Amino acid sequence: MSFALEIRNLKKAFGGLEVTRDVSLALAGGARHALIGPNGAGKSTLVNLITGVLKPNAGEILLGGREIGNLSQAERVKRGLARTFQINSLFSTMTVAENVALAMVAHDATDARLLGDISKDVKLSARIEEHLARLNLAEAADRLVSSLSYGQQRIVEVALALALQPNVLLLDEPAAGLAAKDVEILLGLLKGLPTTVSVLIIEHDMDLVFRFAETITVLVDGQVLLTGLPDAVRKDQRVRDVYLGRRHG
Amino acid sequence: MPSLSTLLSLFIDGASYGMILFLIASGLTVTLGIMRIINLAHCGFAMIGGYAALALTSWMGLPLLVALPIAILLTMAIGFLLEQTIYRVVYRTHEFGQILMTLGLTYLMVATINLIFGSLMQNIPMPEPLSGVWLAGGLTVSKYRIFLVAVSAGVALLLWTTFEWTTFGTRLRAAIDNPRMARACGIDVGRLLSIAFAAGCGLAALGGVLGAQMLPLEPFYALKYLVLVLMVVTVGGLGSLKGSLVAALALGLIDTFGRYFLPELGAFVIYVTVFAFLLIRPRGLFQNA
Amino acid sequence: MRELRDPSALPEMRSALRTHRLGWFEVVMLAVFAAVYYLLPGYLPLATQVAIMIIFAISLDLALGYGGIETLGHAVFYGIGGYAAGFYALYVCQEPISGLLVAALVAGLFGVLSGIVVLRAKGLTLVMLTLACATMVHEFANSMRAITGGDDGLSGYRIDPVLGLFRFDLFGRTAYVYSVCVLIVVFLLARIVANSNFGLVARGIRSNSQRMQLLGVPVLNRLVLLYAVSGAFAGIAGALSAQVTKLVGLNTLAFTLSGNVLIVLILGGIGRLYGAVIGSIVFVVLSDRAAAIDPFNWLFILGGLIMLVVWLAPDGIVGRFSALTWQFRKQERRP
Repeated sequence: MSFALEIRNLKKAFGGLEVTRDVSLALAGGARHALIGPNGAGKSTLVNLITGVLKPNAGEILLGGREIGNLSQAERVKRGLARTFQINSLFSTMTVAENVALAMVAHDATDARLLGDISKDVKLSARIEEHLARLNLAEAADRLVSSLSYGQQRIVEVALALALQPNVLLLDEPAAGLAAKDVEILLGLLKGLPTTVSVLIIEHDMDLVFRFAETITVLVDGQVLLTGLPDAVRKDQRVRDVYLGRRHG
Repeated sequence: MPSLSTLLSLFIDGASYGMILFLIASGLTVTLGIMRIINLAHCGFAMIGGYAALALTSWMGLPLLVALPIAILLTMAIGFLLEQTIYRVVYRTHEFGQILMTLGLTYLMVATINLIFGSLMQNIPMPEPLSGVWLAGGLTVSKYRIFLVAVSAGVALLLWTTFEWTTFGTRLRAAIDNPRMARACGIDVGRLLSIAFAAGCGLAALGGVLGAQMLPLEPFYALKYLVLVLMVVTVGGLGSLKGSLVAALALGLIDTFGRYFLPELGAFVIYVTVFAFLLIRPRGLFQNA
Repeated sequence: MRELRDPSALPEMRSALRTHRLGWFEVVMLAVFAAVYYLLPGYLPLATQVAIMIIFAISLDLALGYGGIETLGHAVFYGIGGYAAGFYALYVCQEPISGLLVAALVAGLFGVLSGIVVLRAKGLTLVMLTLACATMVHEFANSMRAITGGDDGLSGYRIDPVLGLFRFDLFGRTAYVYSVCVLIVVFLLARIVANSNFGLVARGIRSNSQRMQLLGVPVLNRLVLLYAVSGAFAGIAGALSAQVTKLVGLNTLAFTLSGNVLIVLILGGIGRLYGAVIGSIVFVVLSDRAAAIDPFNWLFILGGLIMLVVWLAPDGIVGRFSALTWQFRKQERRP
């Protein structure tokens, strides 16, 4: 049985600067995996490598057991990979419902359909409503994304990725800039994710990480320091050193 | 196979044409590079310079070499004025708005020139010592073209020295590379832009005056040659003076030789080349040098 | 699983997925078109020009307002459509409707071919490429003057009666009704495209094309399709002009025309299809009056107008109007 997402010996350097050094990671189906580490550890780079924004210098990326390193960003998404952005990347001039509709239509591969009034598509409307209701965004359906609060926009960011019904979901600091109550909402959302989805979450909010993740990988200076269960990671002396700033290595 | 004389002539023609394009395009490259503003009115300044020189030589009887610096300064003044007023609004609009606003400004320039000078094509009278040809060992070369190449090369050298060796040039390069960071380092990017803008207008005017033989003066000048200048800037790479120089020379030579060897399709060669090139290297020759 | 309900019972969803709805505007426009026919018979040629410009502007609105394709060379499709219709009438068949279809096909095909090259670029490079493309075709038509008639243009072809029944008369009655009918058809087709999944996707690409990629949509493909559809409609406008005036000149490929149709949309407002209608009426009438007085000084007005509109009313006339009505509606909503 293959992993939902697997990275083998991934390397990336910008000129002389090695940002990702020999990183290997595996996500089983239904995983709840967190990636933590100090700033500059290369976490976002890793996400960019997986999604295809950056090309690795060496190593393999496998989605559902199949190599995706040569695929374009759009193709990887079609294979079941979805991500959210640390800084919101939404369709801000469009309504919440339209945002979700775009994701759904893209997922259904009906995005090139020229016939048929979209607002008369009963099934689509119902699906959008259901999706938004689950995320407590139903009332905001007809509001422009730019008019929402930051917290709500972050939720829409996740809503978009979820509407793609991905196999693997990469969340890049979803709690960034969120007030405490919004983090609670986010956590509820994450906990409610179907078990068919494997989740890799990058986060600095340790509270969120320890309440959500079943496995944690610690990345330091582009290398995996350790991967293990939350308790083990929490107690590991090296991890404490890294976070408390004591010189390491 | 055409004679050596013809080839040399073609080469000089192409190079001088390219240098004129470079002179006009250089200002646009710099303003595009620093503030990323799209100024479609840029060719209009070349036109203004040309017509100013025309007025000074034809109406006031001044010799070309005296009229030239006056025309340049006049154009720079007009450019500076516009930059302090109208362009302040342009800076604030989004990209497409800039395209439209500067297009509107170009229309105004065209209408103004037509009002003052009429719609017929005009030429700036050539000073005596520069007209005619040189005969050297069986080769015939236009004196004026050589003069053009020499002057433009001199200006290009001056630009390069300013850019690479002076403090002003360094600040300018910093502002092109990263305007925000430059501001954070205490560089007055706004003032730099104003100076660069005015200088760009001056360079355009120089190109407009010197190049009036190849790009004849008419009210629609500002729009007619816009495509060419834009092609030079994008092929060269936005914000790269070096790129503009290479691109301008290349396009000038390709166009001249293209028209000679393929008279039927001569005009396309340059377009096809540009399309093909940008397919392979969409960011241009040198990105933001 | 919730029961599927009729969307009309989901009022929030209907307004949340903003589509173009037929309403009083369309009724008013039809009434205006009819009124012009019966009450202002002397102005039919001008009104025909308006109708043709509306079609052209709608085509640009699809590309620019919906897809965000910034083009300074849209006239290339108009001209190609015009010449296609002209050649068709001259050498193949004088039937008008098939001429429109041929023109649409040829222009659409050019849209695919040029789109594949041009639409990879963004920003200024894209603008420049569209301009270069149009200039190139213009030069081509100019140099092939043996076939295209060069500056004098292509002429001397007849056009058969529309549907075999309505001859083109000297007063321009047939031409007018024919053009308005084509306009209605194009408008409805454009509506269909705008309201479809594809229309939503086009708007998404305009809003955030990077994110569209990450939703799994092949953005370049979709843009090329949009560009081709837009080009086809523009080709229809050009063909209509060729059939109605019995003349196709180099001006159909000129930059002036590309600039004009842009101004029409900026005046009227982009992204709503209505803007094309309002902008065309204002522009064509204004230019007819002003150009008659002095063609060059018209450029003063034009230049000043563009700058003012972009500065003060970037959403155009329609944008201003809908901003006002939005204020009204918001006040009504509050309890």
